[in-house]
Amino acid sequence: RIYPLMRVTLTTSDGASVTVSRQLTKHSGFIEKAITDMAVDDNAVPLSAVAVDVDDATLKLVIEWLTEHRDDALPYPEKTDEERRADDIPAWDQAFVQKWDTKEDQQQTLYAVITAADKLDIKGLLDMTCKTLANKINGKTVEEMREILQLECDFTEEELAEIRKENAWCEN
Amino acid sequence: MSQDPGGELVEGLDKMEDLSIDQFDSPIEAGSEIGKEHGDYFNILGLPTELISHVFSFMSMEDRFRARVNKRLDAIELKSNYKVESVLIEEVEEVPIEVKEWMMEMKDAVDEEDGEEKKEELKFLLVRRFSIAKFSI
Repeated sequence: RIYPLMRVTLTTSDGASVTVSRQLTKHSGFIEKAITDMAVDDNAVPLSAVAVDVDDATLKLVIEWLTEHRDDALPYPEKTDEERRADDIPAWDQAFVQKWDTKEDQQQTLYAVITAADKLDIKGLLDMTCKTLANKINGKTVEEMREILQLECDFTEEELAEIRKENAWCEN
Repeated sequence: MSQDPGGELVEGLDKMEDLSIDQFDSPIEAGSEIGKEHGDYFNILGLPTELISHVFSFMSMEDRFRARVNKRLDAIELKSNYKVESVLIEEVEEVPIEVKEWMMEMKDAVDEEDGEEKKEELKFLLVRRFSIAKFSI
């Protein structure tokens, strides 16, 4: 059982610390495991701080997302490959991500939140951010994808010809 | 913020309102710039392979084929599984010459055997070996 008044202090990779409710951290597999490993009673306060390998600016965004999603079902409902789709991002999450679009560094923000969600094992946030990235390249041509991701073509001419042959059915 | 009607959770949620994003002990905005080291683009190759695969899992098969824009992404996709509801094998207008020759050999064998069952077996073999769905013997 999660006691809502229980607080957990998190320390970031750049030395900041924040105290949040267990209602938020219960969605993080990493933090929950850290608390379990402390082998303390759920009512015991204060806990030792949990160190997270995430910088403070990114953790702020993660906590903002967790606050909105604190009532989401647990365990996180995993979807099969057939059920996976990128166009079912909730409206609040879309607005949350779109706020970054006004910033010059929105691509880096998305990168940072994806890696933070992975490190903290927050499956809902990881899925949402990966879908956001997928949506940026879905429906794009090879050249458009290469431009968005800023990737050089490192294939040999022969390899490239083979790829084009294999892609003939799906080139737009 | 949603509120649970009564009980321990409400008190907890009320408290939680005071515990969220502005409670950092050090100024957030004065902290690190997110992902600054990666430049102004999405550094997908900086992600571990399993995360790239996870991103690709939300894309259609067509988009995943096109997303093989460099060697690493191609290698990741080569290890991916695709699950499709159905496969349509289109009718082949021009049967490759080597297939024709093989068919003729088989046809002679079938004529000698003289049986419809053999023809059906031959069709099955052709479909499996050359992915040809429809042809005439």
